Amino acid sequence: MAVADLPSAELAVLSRRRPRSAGPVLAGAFLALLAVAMIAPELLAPGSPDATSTADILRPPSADHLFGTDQNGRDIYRRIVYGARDSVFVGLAATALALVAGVLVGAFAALAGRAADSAAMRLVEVLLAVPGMVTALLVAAALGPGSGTVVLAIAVIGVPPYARIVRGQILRLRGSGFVEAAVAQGLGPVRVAWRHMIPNALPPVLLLGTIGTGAAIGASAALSFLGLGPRPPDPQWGAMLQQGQDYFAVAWWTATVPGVVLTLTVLSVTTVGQYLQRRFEGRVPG
Amino acid sequence: MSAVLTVRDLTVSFDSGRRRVDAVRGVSFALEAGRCLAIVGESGSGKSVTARALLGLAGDGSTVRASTMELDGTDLTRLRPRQWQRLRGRVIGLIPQAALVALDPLRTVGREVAEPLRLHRTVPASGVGDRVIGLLGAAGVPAPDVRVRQRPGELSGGLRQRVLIASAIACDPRVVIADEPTTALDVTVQAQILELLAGLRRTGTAMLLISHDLAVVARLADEVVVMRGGRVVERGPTRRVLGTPEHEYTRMLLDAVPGAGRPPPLPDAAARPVVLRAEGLVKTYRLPGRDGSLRAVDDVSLTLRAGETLGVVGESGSGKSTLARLVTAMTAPDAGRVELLGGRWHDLGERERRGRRREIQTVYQDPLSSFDPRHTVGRILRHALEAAGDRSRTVGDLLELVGLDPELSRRHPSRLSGGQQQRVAIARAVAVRPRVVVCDEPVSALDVSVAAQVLRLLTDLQREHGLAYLFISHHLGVIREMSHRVLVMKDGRVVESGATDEVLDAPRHPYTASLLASLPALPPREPSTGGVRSAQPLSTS
Amino acid sequence: MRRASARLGHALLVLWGALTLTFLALHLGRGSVVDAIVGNNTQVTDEVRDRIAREHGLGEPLWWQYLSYLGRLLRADLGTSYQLNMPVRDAIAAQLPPTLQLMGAATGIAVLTTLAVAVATTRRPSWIRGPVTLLEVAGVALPQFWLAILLLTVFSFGLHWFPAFGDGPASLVLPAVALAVPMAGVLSQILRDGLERALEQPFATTARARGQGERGVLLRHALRHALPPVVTLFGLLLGGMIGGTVVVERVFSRPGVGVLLLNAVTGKDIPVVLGVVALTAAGYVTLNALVDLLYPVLDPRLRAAGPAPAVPGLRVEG
Repeated sequence: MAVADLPSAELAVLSRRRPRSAGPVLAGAFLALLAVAMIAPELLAPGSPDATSTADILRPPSADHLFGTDQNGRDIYRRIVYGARDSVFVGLAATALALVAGVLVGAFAALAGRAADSAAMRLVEVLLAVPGMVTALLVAAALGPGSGTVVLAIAVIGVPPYARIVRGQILRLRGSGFVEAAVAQGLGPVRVAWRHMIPNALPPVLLLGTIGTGAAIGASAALSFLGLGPRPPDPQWGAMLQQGQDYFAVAWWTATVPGVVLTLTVLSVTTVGQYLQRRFEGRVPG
Repeated sequence: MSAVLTVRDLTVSFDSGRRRVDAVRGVSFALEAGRCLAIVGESGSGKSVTARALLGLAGDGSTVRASTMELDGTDLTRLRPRQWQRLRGRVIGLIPQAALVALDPLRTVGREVAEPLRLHRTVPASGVGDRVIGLLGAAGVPAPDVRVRQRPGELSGGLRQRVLIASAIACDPRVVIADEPTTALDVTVQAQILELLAGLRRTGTAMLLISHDLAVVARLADEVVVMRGGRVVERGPTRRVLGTPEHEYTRMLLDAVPGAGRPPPLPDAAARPVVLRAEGLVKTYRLPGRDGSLRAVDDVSLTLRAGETLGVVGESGSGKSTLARLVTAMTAPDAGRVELLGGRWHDLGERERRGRRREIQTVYQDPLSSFDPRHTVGRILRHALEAAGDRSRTVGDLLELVGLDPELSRRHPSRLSGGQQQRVAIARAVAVRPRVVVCDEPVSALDVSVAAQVLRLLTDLQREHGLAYLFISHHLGVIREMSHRVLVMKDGRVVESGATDEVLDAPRHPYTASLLASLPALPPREPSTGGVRSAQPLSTS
Repeated sequence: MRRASARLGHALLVLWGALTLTFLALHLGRGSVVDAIVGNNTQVTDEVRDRIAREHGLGEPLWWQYLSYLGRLLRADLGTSYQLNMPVRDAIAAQLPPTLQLMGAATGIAVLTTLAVAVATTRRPSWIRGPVTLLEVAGVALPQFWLAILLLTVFSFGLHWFPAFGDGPASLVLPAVALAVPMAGVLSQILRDGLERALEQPFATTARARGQGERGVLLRHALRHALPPVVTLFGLLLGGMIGGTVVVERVFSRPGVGVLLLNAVTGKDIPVVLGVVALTAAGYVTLNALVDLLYPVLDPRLRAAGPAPAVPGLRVEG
């Protein structure tokens, strides 16, 4: 949950000045594979992810079962592939939702006058005052378990950072020399916003969103782990981890495989996000 | 007398992975006790890198080589980091430019001055406190026992410079390097600091002065080394080099010092239409933290006629820039009125004013921050032409108008030099065909030779387009060269105004007189060498 | 004095907002509270259900329940747990010590690691920084519950270095590390960035020119400049750490406020949830007030700061 709780300026710092490496390429390749799994899982893993086999309970990884089988004799590889859609999509949807809401709240706070600003920022502070995980649990309790719940819960805790960065960007840009120069040439507020404010305010927000997606995927798995995600038997990495934990002592692969896949996913998304940020900063000088 | 500092064939190069840059190439000089040697040059000349190399602080990725580099009997070419530390502050000190953060803003002045004393243990720990107060007193800091507990942010620029001097001389070093020690200071303060540095020299300290300012060099240095592109182009006694310069670059530098030229005469000035009129302008800012307020602009009136330049001169905090924001309607006055082209201006609604904003434009000191970082030069100028609805001119025309290569339109402004950036800013201002241009310190951040070219461009544009300039500067030389009339501002008020030559040659207000008296002067040029220019004192700050 | 009372009022406002939102979320959410209290027991008659509802005031209109809750709160009465049959205050008081121990240990580990790693890797060649940075990024990216499981498996079940469960100091190590890793991963990056930027400032050059060594410049000058953002972030991340305890306590089967909250949320034990939210929000608000107080100590310049001038015509007054 750590990244979701970060203020934006610090998040930007986290991705500056990294040495060049093969990381982004590997991360990109992994994400491409993941995209295939989300769109057409049958290409990577023929067969049903829910097919049980009492003869193959808790089998270790082998040629037949690449990642072994679980307590119901289901093929873990197949479940990982089929679980990608739910596990990753939830993070993407939550981030998109949080981003849109955050941009609206932040822009409203910055542009709609002092009273609106202080009201919106108080709301953001209330959201910050309750730890993200607690908020997520509350949303989950109010809506009942399920994928939609997880999306909404993670979106709610994601709003404050976006709202803050957008508000800060707009305030900074409004006092900037080039906005003053545009005003001096007789440009109205709408055109100033369209030409200077939005193009300059948005990229850092979108990049923050990329990095935030990684955190959201991790958070969604955590909620599933706590039993608030989609109900079994739908494959979902967090839920697989939770079930696997009980059999960990006798069958290490049950929890290890979903854990490693999840970590690689979050790391890849973060790495690509940071890479894009670096590229972006390099392309626009100044 | 033998030299305390000898440098022979100093070369400093920087390796940034992809390419190597030679910042200093084969520089030699010697410095004796009680003498002052100045290295002058424009940005990129290598003068500051030379100074840093002598402190072992040339920076990451630098390679320093020299056939001789000797300080007070110590060979500097083969020192280890620890040996450098023992020399710095004790045998060789640095007086940097008094930028806001040249002193650690989080520590008290006392701790900053005490740092070299504690590091080198030149006085017993029990005596450090008294010594610090003594040093601050000697550096001309009033009430040193109170100031020791303050932080740099609470001090003026002049006081910060005094603290930096106190800290540099705390351990009585044999050599002091003064790197632009008066840059960015107001002229009156600059004069005091120069006096202090001159006194320091008389105590026997050898001084290496790094400066871009020939008048400061003339005031302090016995000898001058002129650098350009990492090489020494001319050297000799100060009077000789500044009086009868041999190298054309030195001559060009001297010619570029503003103050000798005069604006083109303005025929029948009184008959010209008034384009900008301000009456009784007042602007008050509430001071943060305390319950006080500051009258940044206090009852200021002015008139500006078509084709005329009205200079506004004053030191920092005099309200010059607030005045600029008031007349451009970027901020509203608390009292008073502004008329533009004879019509209402300050009290128009923003919606109405928007249609007329093009008539008054601003050229800022820092052009880069006035450009959208995402836009190219071409896009910036195209927007300006669109704003004016001007289809008759192209971006290329505008660039040619300000003397730039049309090819530059594809570049981002941050990839241009400071002079080029300012030309783009001027092109953008004139693109919308304004009647009035407010120039707010337009050449303060530029090297003298570049500044001279930009000033010439402004004069040409004025002649061709009949522009009226409200020309704001702290620099009396620039003001004299550009303005037909001048306002002298102090603490938000106009203390004196009138025709430029009358005000600057025969000031009536004591403040104007003290400004003029504070200016360091260049020595007279001998007519046989330069030929063109008169030998009257040139002013600069 | 006026600033202090404004601060307090602001803090109470945030606290009230947090409680109100929580109250609404729980009451307007799906499922009846009485069902949750009764649980799976199908033998319960309607009579009993009515009595339960009356006992907890659940039959009253929502606004009345809300106001009476706030009224009791003013008398420091957090109510009685539906599930545990004990006052919420006692329930929380019983679970608080292990959680505080855990967070205290985790904070200590995170702060020490941050300082050590950042100071040791500032301005070092990339073959030192590269791997360390990778570890930091991985520490942030690693889902915390997975990290906890990993630690438990490797160091407890595998190597038997630390006990998996129990309440001795040794059993605190792994859960504390699991909580500390994400925090340290973020903070050390921020601290190093701040240190490196401070070391490029002119005052650092001035100090070097006085004979101060690199280590001295770093510790005596740069560190203080780099700390303020770290302190702010620390305040915010502590909030995240409270959330982290839910997961870590669950994985390590430790008692604590996190598990108390988890069970209360799933069981619709509204008084307990509200009590925990009040506690964490109050903790957050207090902590950030402390951070604000610490700022002027770290940076005396903050006592005076002017507003940036705005450009006219771009503010839509509302």
